[in-house]
Amino acid sequence: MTVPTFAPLPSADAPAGAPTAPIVLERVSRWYGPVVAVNDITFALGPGITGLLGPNGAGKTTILHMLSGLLRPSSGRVLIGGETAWRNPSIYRGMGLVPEREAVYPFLTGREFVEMAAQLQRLPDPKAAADVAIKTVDLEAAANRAVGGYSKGMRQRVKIAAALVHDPPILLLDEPFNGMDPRQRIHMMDLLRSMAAAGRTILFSSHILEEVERIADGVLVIVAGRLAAAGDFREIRRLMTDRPHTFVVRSSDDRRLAAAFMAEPAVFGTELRDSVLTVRVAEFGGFTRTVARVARDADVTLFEVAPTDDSLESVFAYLVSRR
Amino acid sequence: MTIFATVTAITIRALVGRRRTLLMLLLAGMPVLLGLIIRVNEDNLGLRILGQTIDGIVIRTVLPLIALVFGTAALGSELEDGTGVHLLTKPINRSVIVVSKALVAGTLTAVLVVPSTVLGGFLMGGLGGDAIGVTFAFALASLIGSFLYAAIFLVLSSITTRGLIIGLAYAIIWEGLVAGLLPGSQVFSVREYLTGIVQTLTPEAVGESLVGTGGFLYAAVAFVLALAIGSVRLARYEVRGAE
Amino acid sequence: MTAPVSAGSPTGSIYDLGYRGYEGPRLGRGYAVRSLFSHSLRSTYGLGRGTRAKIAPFALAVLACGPSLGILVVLVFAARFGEQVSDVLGANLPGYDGMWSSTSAFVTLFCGAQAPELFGRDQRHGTLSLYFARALRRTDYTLARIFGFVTALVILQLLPQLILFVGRVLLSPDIVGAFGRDLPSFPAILGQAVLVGLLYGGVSMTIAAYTPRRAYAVAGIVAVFVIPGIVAAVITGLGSSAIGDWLVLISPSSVLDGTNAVLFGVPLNPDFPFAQRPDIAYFAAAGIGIVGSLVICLRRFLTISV
Repeated sequence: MTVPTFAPLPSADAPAGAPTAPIVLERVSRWYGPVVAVNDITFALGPGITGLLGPNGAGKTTILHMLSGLLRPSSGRVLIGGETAWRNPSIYRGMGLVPEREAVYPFLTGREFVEMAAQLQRLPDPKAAADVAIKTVDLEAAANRAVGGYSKGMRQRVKIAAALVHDPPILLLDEPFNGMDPRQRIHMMDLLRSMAAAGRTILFSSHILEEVERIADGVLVIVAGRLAAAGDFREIRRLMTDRPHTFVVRSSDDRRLAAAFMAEPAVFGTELRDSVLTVRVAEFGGFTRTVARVARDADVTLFEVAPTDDSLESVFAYLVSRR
Repeated sequence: MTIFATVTAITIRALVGRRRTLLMLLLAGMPVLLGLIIRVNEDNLGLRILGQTIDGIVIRTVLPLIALVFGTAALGSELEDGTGVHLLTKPINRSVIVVSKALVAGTLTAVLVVPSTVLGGFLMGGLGGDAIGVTFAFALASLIGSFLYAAIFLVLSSITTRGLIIGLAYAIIWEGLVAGLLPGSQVFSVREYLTGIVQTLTPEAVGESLVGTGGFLYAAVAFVLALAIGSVRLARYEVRGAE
Repeated sequence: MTAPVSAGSPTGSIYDLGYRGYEGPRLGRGYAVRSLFSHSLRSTYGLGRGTRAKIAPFALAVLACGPSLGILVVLVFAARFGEQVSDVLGANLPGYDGMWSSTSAFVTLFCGAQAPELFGRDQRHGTLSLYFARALRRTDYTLARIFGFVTALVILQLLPQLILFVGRVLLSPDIVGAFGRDLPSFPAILGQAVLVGLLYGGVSMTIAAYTPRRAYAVAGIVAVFVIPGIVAAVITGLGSSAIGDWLVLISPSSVLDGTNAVLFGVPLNPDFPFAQRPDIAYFAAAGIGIVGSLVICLRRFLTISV
C-alpha cells in the first residue's frame, strides 16, 4: 500500500523556538479551582513529529485542548501559527485536530462526514478533497457505510481523514493509534512520517511507548502537569547521569570478559546468568570507548554490545518515578 | 452561505431521528386528541373557552416541551457528547452555528405544533368564522413561540447541562406562578408575549394581557437577544475537563 | 535494535505484589441492597456528588417549602401581635390538606430533574453491568433505586408539612391542645406523602428507565404528569360526560388530588371536575398506577442486555 507523498510546505523552515514557530506554549498553566492540571509549561514545536508522553491524568489531553482552542489557559499564551488559539476560529484553517473521544455523527457515512469537514473548511472542491483524504487513510471500502457501524479503528481513521482534508500544516492527534490493528498502525505511522517529511508539524499524545519510540523525532514528557523532559529521548537518557547504564554483551568467552570488566573502575558490576552477560556502568560514553580495548586485552571476541535500558520505557519509568 | 447550508443540513439530519420523531408526534398529537374527544362529546366550544383550552394544552404545555426537546438536541446534546467539537474546530463564525441550529429547531417545532394547533382548534371550535379566527391567531402565536422557545432552550442547553430542568422550571414556575403574581414580570415571559399576540388578533379569546400588541416586538427582541447570547457563549465554550 | 534481554528467566514471571484472596465472611445481598437504597436516596438530593448536583434538588426542595414557609411567617407575625394562632388559622389559611396542590408543580419538576439522574446515568455510561455482576439481583437493583427515589419524594412532601406543623402547633400558646387538634391529620399526611412518592416516583422512574437520554426522560415525565391533567380538566370542565369522568383517572396528578381530598376528608372543590367519583376509585387508580409502573420497570431491567 503506497502512501501518497505530500507537497512540501512553502516556508516550513522556521527554527523551533522562534516566535513564529507553528506551535508555541509560553508558561501555560491551567487549573480547575485548587487542582492544577497543567503547570507552567513552555515549549515550541517545529516541523516534524513530536510525541506527547505521559501517564493518564498527567495533562496531555488538557494541553491538546488548549492548543486546539477548546480550552482557555488559566495563564500563559498558546500560539498556533503565531496567533492565540483561544476564541480564534481562523486558526482552524491551518490546523487539524483528531480528538480522542469517539463521537462522530453516527448517521453520516464516512464520506459524508469528511465532505462535511471539507465544506466547513470552505474548500473550493469539497468532494475531491474528501476523496483524496479517504484514500489517504485507506478507508475507501467502507466510505459509503454509516459511521455508526464502524469499528473503533475505522472511526479513528475517518476522524483523521476529516482532519487532513484541508491539508493543514499543523496536526494534533489525541491517542491516534487507539483501536487500530498493527497493519493500520503501520500505515498511519508511514502517513504521519511522510507528512512530517514534507514540513508539517505533528503533535500526538500517547501512553504507548513503542509507538512514540517508533515515529517521534522528539518527545515531551508530561508528569503530573509539569514538563519532565523534552527532546530526543536518547539524549534525555544520556542526561540521566545519576543512574547506571546497563549493557548486554555477547562474546566468545563471557566469563573471562566479565572478569576483565570488573577490573575497570567505571564498571559497577557484571552479571552472568543464563549465558547472558550484563554489565552496569557509571557513564555511557566512557564504557563505549573502553569496551573494545578491554575485550582485545582479554583476548575475547565481541559479537554484540547493546545498551539495554536506552529505551523510552526506562526513560519514562525513571522520569515518572522521580516525582 | 454554503456554511450555513451545511450546518443546517447536518442539524436537520441529527434532529429527525426515528425515535425522537415518534415521541414528538405523540406529544403534538395531544391537542388533536383532545379536539377529537371534545368533538365527540360536545358542540363547538365558546370562543373564550376555546381560547383557554388551546392556551392550556398548546401554549403552556405541548409547545414548550417540543421546543425544549428540539432546542436541547440541536446544540446542548452535541456539546455534551463530543460531536459538537467537529463543528467548533472549523474556521466558521460561532453565530452561524447558533443561528442555523436555532432556525432548524424552531422550524421542526413549528412543523409539529402549528398543524396540531390548527387541527385541534378546528375540532374544538368548529369552522365558524370567529372560531377560525381564534384558531389561526393561536396558530400564529405558536409559530412565533416555536422559534422563540427553541432559541431560548437552545441557548440554555449550551450554557449548562441542566438546561432542560432550568428551561422547564422557567416555563412552569416563572411563567406559571411568578408572572401571575407579579404583573411586571410578564415582560419577561414568553407565554405573555404569545398571549399578547393572540389578544391583538382576537381579543375575545383571551383575558387581560399587560403586553398586548407589544408581544410581537418583545418576541422579536427576545429572539435576537437569545441568538446573540448564544453566539457569545459558544465563542467562549470550553470543553469539560476530563482529567 | 535487539529486544532488551531481561535478567529474569526467558519465560515471564508473575510477581507477588501483595494481592491476597479473601475467604472470610462477606456482607451479602441484604447489605448490597440497603447500600444501593441509601445511595439512591442520597444521590437524589445530590449528597455525595459534588456541589453542582445539589443545586436542582435543593432549589426545588426550598421552593416546595415556600408556601408553608410563607404561612409560618404569617403566623409568627400574628403571634407577635398577640393574636391567637387558632384565630388566624380559622381565617382560611391552608392546612395540611392544601400542601399537595401548592407543591405539586415542584414535585413534578423534582421528578423530572432527578429521576433521569438515577436510572439514566448507569445506562449511559455502561455501569449497569457492574451492578449486575455483584451480589445484587436485577430486581434488587431496580427496587432499591426506585424506593430510594420514593423515599426522597416522601421527604420532599413531609418537609413542608413539618414546617406547617411548627407554625400551627409550636407557635400556639396552647401547644398540647394544638397538638391534639392536629394529631388526627398525621395518618392522612403520611398516607398522601407515601402515595405521591409511590405513584409519581414509580411513573417517573419507569420513564427514566426506558429513556436514558436525559432530554426525553425529562420531557416525558413532565408530559405524563401535566398533559393528562389538562386534558381531563378541560373535558370534564365542559360538562359531565361519560368518558370524561373516568378519563381523569389516567392523570396521576388528578388521582392524587382525589386521594388527598379523601384522606383529609375535605370535600373536593366544587369546580373540581371529578367530584362524582367514588372514593375508592382514586385509590384503586393509584394502586394500579403504582403496581403497573413497578412491573413495567422491573421488566425493563430484567430483560435489558448489558
